[in-house]
Amino acid sequence: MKLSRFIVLILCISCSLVFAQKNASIQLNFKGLFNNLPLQLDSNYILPNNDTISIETCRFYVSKIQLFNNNQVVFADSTLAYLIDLANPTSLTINLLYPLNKKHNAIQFNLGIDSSLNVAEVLSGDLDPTKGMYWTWQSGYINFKIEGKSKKSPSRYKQFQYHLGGYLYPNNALQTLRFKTNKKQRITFVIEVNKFLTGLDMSKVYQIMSPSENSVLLSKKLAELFKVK
Amino acid sequence: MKKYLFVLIAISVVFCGFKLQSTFDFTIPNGWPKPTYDFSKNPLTDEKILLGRVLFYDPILSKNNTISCASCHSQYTAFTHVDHALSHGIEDRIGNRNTPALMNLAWHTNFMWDGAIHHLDFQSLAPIENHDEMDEKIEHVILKLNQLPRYKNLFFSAYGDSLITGERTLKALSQFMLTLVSANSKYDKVMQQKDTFTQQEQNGYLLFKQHCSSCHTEPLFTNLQFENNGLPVDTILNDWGRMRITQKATDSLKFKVPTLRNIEFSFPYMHDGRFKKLSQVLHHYTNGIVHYSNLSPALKQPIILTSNQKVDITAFLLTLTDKEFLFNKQFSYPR
Repeated sequence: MKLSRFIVLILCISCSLVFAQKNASIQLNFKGLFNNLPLQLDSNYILPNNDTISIETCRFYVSKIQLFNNNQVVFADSTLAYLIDLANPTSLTINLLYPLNKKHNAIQFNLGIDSSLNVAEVLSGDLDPTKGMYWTWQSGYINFKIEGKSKKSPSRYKQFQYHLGGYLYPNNALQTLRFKTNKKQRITFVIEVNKFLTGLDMSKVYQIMSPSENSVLLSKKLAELFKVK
Repeated sequence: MKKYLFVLIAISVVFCGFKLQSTFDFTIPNGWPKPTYDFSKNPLTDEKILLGRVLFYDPILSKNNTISCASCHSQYTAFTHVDHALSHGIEDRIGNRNTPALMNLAWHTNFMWDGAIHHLDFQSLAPIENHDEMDEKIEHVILKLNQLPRYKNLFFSAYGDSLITGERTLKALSQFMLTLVSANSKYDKVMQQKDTFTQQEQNGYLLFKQHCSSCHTEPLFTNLQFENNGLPVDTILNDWGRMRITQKATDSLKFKVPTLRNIEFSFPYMHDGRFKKLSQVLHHYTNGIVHYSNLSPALKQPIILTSNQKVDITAFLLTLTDKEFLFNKQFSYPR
């Protein structure tokens, strides 16, 4: 009896090893930085224009992750989108399983939600509208949301709120990012939040909450601030 | 023998398991186009429709649990709010647009007077979260629903487990709204040759086809487009309609063409509810058109109607009343 159990156990382990070897995993990590240090939510920072700010919320969608080998798609992730929320540590890591025999030298993803998902039916998981990333007065996902306080903001609670999104021409805010990959199985993406806020005069532009020219401009700026570390 | 009996029982148990979800047949009325709603993404079942109906009539969707969808979309008035020119929210807050009548939504691809919402599944979010309507947050609605055993049970029978999510809640609301089909008016019966128009209604129908049907197209009595119908701007509301969404000057003062079905009960009329009576509406089209550069092409030539002709058109419009729809028990408060 004991022996047969042992054999089954060995079989299970060997099977799982065989199957495990067919897939490789790649881990993506997302990190917020402020002045080259990990971003601390709710702590005060001073911007070059002498504004004192704090960040309460920073969340964004990463969708349509693909691996490329010499500009050929070798792997497309089946998960439609991931909501990355700097306040939620478990959301900062994405594990991709891809076939081991596929070589890759680049990774691509969308920062935000593309038009095909925007016009689809109501979706579940990270795309459920209860995640606070859906505009309710006008259909569409918010791609990137950053909120906090600014001494210069003229709003009632000294707030700033940037909800960037929009999927329709001419205010399509979606950004597609592509990075080279090396053999490492862990890629850390950093977003330099201080650079995003520098240059924004929160005494004037303290609120963007609809698809607009500003939303597109800031989304482009944002895309440039994603780096691989 | 015992073995067979066991298999039989097992099969019937499985079969009963499937029977728990009873699919609802959505019938397309004779001669109507195909619906645009993709039912394959949200297949109708009796259980989901019931869940949507319970939600539709439950004030739990509003911040202070005082108003439900049905507060402003009352069945007996074609799912709109009689006597309210502008929508009426919690704490007597007043919005800036007239509550639209709800019917035949499976054929619509844009919702709201300005088309701000592009899919029925997302429509309910707008009134739930609008400050002047329910002023609630969908996240909080889900939290409240999760605390009620009644909803745990309803979600269980609708979805096979009692998980309550935003997606499921919104899809159930869509399911109930999709069943609100109005296609049994006298007009429909005349078209099916089961009834006949009076002479006056017939005259009205011919005049309607000549002057109105390019926008209020049969059988839905809307072309589902956005049109500038020449209304003077209300300088208190300053509502520019579709332009707010597309930010195109050519969409200035365009609003979605509403259906005329059940128009007898859906007063007041226009996006801002400025007209209480059909006679005022007809007077606008004959005498009140403001000639904007993007005025609907159908209104560029003046419409000339005698007062008798206006009465005839009105008589025809009253044939669009569908009592079976207005008093269908399947659509009423779920007891």
